[in-house]
Amino acid sequence: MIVLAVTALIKAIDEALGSDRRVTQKEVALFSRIGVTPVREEVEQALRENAFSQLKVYNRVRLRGHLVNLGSLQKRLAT
Amino acid sequence: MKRLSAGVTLAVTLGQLLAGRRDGWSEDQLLVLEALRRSANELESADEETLAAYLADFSTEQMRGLVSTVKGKYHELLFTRAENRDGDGISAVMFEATNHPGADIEFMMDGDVIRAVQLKAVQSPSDILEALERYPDTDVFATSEVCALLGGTFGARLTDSGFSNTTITKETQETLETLIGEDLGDFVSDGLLTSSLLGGAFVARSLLAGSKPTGADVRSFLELAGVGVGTAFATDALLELL
Repeated sequence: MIVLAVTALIKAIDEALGSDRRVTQKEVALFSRIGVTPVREEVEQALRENAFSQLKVYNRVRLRGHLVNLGSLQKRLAT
Repeated sequence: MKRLSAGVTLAVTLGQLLAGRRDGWSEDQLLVLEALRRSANELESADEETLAAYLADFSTEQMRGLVSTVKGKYHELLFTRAENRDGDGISAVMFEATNHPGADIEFMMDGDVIRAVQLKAVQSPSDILEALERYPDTDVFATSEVCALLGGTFGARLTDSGFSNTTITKETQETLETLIGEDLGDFVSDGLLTSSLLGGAFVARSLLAGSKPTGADVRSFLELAGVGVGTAFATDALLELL
């Protein structure tokens, strides 16, 4: 489900970038709040539960780093 | 304290019900809720949650019709309250039945009924003529403009209720259109109704939750994000994105 959810978010971003229509600040904020937050929280939970044990340590660390960066960007977006 | 006009109070109350407000009602707003309960038999003892659910399914057109009906009941309640507070020894009592034939209000003195009248919040003299013809034994108390228009034509059979129908109707319509139209207008102007980003966000959330969000969920998400959604139309339109 996490992969499907991430795919839905990526597809939405691709469509938005490929469209001529201007993306508003409110739209991005809602995208972050409604879509990105639950996905990020789900991945964080999965990491805590060691659900990605098949990944190499290096990749798990990278994933955790991406999540931290994503969370920081979302905080900046919300302020 | 400045008292809100009947029309504004009515519109704001309906808007608050749609927006899910459940407490902090003013005295006039509670009167509007009472008018809404009296507007349909099935709402007679409805709690506020039930009233809100009832309104949530209304289209813009239906809402206008409902406002017109509720406005009439609200007019009766306002008039009754005013009569019972003027300290003249005469009290007014509304008939319990939602659609009592002929009379809407009884005037009482020392426990006896001294007069029963119809109340009309209308603009057209023809509505008054029809009411007087239909119930020849029941006098009419009507909103100010139509009384002024008819002058003293009907003598004691027609009396000014003291409330303005033009003000009530105009403000009710404008405020409701603002409440309904602006919310949807914001969504349209911000591109939210056609937003692939927002659609993708809802799809992702639904996948993780294992079910499609309801209208209440969508409203809740948007309110958390600081977007006020006053009507069911915007949330329904967003759900269409999924």
